[in-house]
Amino acid sequence: MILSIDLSGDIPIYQQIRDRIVEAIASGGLAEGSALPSTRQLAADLAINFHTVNKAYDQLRQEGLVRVNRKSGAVVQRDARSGPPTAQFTEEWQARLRTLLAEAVAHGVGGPAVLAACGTTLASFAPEHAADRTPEHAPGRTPEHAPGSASDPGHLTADLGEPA
Amino acid sequence: MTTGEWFSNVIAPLLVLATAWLAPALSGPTLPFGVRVPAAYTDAPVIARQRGAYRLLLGGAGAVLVLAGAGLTLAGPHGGYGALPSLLALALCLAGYLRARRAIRAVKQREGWFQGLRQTVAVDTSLRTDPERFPWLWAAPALLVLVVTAVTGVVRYPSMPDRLPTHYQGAGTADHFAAKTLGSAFAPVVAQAALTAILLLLMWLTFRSRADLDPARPAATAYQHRRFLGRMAVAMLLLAACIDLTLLAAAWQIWHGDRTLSLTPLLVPALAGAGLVIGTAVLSGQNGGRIPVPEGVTNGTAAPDTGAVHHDDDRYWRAGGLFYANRQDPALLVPKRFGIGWTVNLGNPRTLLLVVLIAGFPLAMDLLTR
Repeated sequence: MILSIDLSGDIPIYQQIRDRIVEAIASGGLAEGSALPSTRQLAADLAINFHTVNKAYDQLRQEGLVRVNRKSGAVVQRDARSGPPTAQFTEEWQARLRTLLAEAVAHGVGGPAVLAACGTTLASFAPEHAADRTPEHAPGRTPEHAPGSASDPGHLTADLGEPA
Repeated sequence: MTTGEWFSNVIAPLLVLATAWLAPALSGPTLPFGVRVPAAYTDAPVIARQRGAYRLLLGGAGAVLVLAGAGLTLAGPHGGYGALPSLLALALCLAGYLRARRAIRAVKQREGWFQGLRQTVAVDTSLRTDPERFPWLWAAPALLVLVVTAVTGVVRYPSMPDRLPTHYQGAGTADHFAAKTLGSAFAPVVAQAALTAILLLLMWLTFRSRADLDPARPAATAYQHRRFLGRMAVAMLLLAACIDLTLLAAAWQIWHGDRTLSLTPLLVPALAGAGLVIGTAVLSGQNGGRIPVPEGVTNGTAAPDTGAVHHDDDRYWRAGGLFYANRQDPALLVPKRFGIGWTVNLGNPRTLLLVVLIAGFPLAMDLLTR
């Protein structure tokens, strides 16, 4: 997995490490059971304080995506195939999604554009899966919706429909 | 005119000059003379100009230095000048480097080359989770020479002279002797063992050092990093074997009580080893920058935007950009920015341990042969 951290931007480094690892899990770059570098190794590779990496790993641990063992180091705990999300996660994620979509609407991004962007982003996580699944869908649906089926398309459409 | 004089007056300074001459070409285009520049500025006129000036200085003044050394050696025996010609060559290279670096830095800062660029650091986590295997098998030649020397020493010990030479002048004439003890007789074996162990340790540490990846092509540079580690470790382990051979040749003469050291059998393996390392470095480039990347190695799905450039880390490189000191960085060894290989992070307290270990080696040898 290639981890790129922007040092000139405003986003804190620990946040970027956490975000990139979540994205790598989503795109299949990291699967359940994949090992991550130790905090010291990753800190040395990024030339940063290891507390920064610790903070990112700690956040991933609290989110249930990574487990940190004393012996085996940091390991990815779940991925898309590890079963449905917890109810608590879904609730929190929807709250954050609401804010994110509100931003788009406030800035004048239209409903179809928002849905198209969501579809493109989801497709980028698993392009090959998206291609596999397209024929399953009824004619008339845009291909961008197809990858939504990787998680739960019903949910997504309902949530996106509201602010638009 | 002796082999020793030729070596110290001509061969050694020539090696220094040749290595320094090659350094700018090996360091990679985005690090001209140890200054970090964005890829878009690698063709800046100031860089081409400084590169030319550096080569002119090294070629011109260096040729004078080497020819003067050759002339003095031919003119008659002076007993050699020791390390002086090499130190002069080194000072010349350093002056040329610092001059070029200052000029490039000045233009970089004045024109703000990094302004508005997305400064990025890229890491390939697979280098840690699936690290390159250390080529332990290549340590076998060095260990073999070490064992052969030790066995020869044990066999020869009863027939060794009562007083053994422990120090030779530049020209190879013994000027210090010590009574035959286990310590004085086996000093060359101890030196071989210590040297082999230190080189093994250093190369093993390089396998744990960080890869300085190009954020614009992380997968390709990670591939080159892996190949570079393997090649350099093999070359350095063979160098260890060559130096052990040199020490075996020295031990052989010491154990026969030779008053005059024949230098040729000592220099041939050491120079061959040095040539091998320099050749490997030239073919590979720093961090493997010259190693061809197969087409199958792509930049992966996480390829960053084209706006990403390596972050400007000049401020951590002090004293003419030759020393790295970053307290926040847990790294022990980091890739050098000028020339080939690695340097220590002076901001890491564990560096002190490593330096003491390496500096302690000649001190321990001195005590042993006293």
